[in-house]
Amino acid sequence: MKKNKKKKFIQFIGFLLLRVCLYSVLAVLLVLLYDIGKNGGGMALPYHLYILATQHHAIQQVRPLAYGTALVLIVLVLGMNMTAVVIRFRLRRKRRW
Amino acid sequence: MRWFRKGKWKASSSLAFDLIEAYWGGEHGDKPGPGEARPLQSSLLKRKKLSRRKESAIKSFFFANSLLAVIVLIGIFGILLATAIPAFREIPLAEFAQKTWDPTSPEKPVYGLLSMIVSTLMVTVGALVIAIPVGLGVAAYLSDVAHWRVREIVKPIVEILAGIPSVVTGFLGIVLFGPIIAKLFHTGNGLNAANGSFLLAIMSLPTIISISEDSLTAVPSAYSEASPALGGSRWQTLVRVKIPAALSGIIASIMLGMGRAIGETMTVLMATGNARSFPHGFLDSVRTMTANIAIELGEVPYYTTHYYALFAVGLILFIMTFIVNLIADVILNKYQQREL
Repeated sequence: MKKNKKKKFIQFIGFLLLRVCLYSVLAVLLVLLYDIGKNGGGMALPYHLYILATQHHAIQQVRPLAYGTALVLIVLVLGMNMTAVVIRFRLRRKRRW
Repeated sequence: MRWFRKGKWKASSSLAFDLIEAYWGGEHGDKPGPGEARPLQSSLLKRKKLSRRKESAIKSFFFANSLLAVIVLIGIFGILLATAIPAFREIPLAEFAQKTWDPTSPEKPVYGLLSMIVSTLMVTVGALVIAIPVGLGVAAYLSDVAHWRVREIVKPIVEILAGIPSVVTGFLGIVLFGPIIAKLFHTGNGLNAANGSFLLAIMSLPTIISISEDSLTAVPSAYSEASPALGGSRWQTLVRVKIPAALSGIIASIMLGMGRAIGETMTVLMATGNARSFPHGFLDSVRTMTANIAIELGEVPYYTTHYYALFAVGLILFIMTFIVNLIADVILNKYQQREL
């Protein structure tokens, strides 16, 4: 009984810590955004790719850069999706209610 | 900490909500455990009152959240309507039905929407013609034929396909499909309606596959097992029993995919060439309504007829997608009521 309670408590603390980590990442992102805003705005990656692919005056020369941008974008999205898939898989295996 | 063990809270709770629950002790605080002393009657009542107040506070918090979504929708529609109405006042309705869109002409600006509407419909229909057979095939394969292990691998991949940014898809159209189409059909560059249709088909495939597969899997076993029991082959079971039984879900998935294809901007902006002329075939360069708004809204002088006309285009597009989504919703509702 006591052991079970302790385990639950540890689980709870771990869960809270996870939450805190997530929120601190969010806070860092917000600070970064503020920084970018102070420096006169940045360019989002998709817009950068759009400019490189269609609006640039030397499209053929910047093609490698465009490929690189697309690669970075896809790796970002795939990374997030993979994380989601892994988390879902683990939760599904762990708990069946 | 019983609330923590309950799966349904864990899936969708925020940090603030967790902390509130942890502070008040949740429902755990209401009843004393078997070993604990029973508290005085008055404090018990007080606690109950508090917890009821807490309940209503949480309820109203969630209600406010759901209200926000409605308010945002109404707000968008209101702004769109308010900005589009001057266009309808300044431009005669018959002019919208013309083919030419030339709002910056020095002699006489013309605001004809017909070629843009036809382009939008053409690209969308082209995308559906490609996406429906492929999507249905994949859905049928996943639900009926595939080993469960294959399904567990392929389904997440299909869902990941939905997450690829539209700008990357458009880039793919420029560097991959464009040259292929140009070489096959001897056109100058491959940026035309066919290219856009291909890309939109790729983008609407995940929606179609995912929802169709769900509805095919949800066909009750009373149907799908009775057919082989009566001597039907697997093909007959699939085509004559399962697909008719899941038809409303399949149609809804197609409608949702279509909604995505109509509203897509970046891909068609990059891959269809954006010529303002009336399209005569899939190898013509077209400019859809979404692409037109994206191109011109950045450079238009504010509060001019041209500006209002762009919002009118947006309003018409909104109504088109709204109708498509409404039809999908009605069909899905019917599907749920029948309780397959």
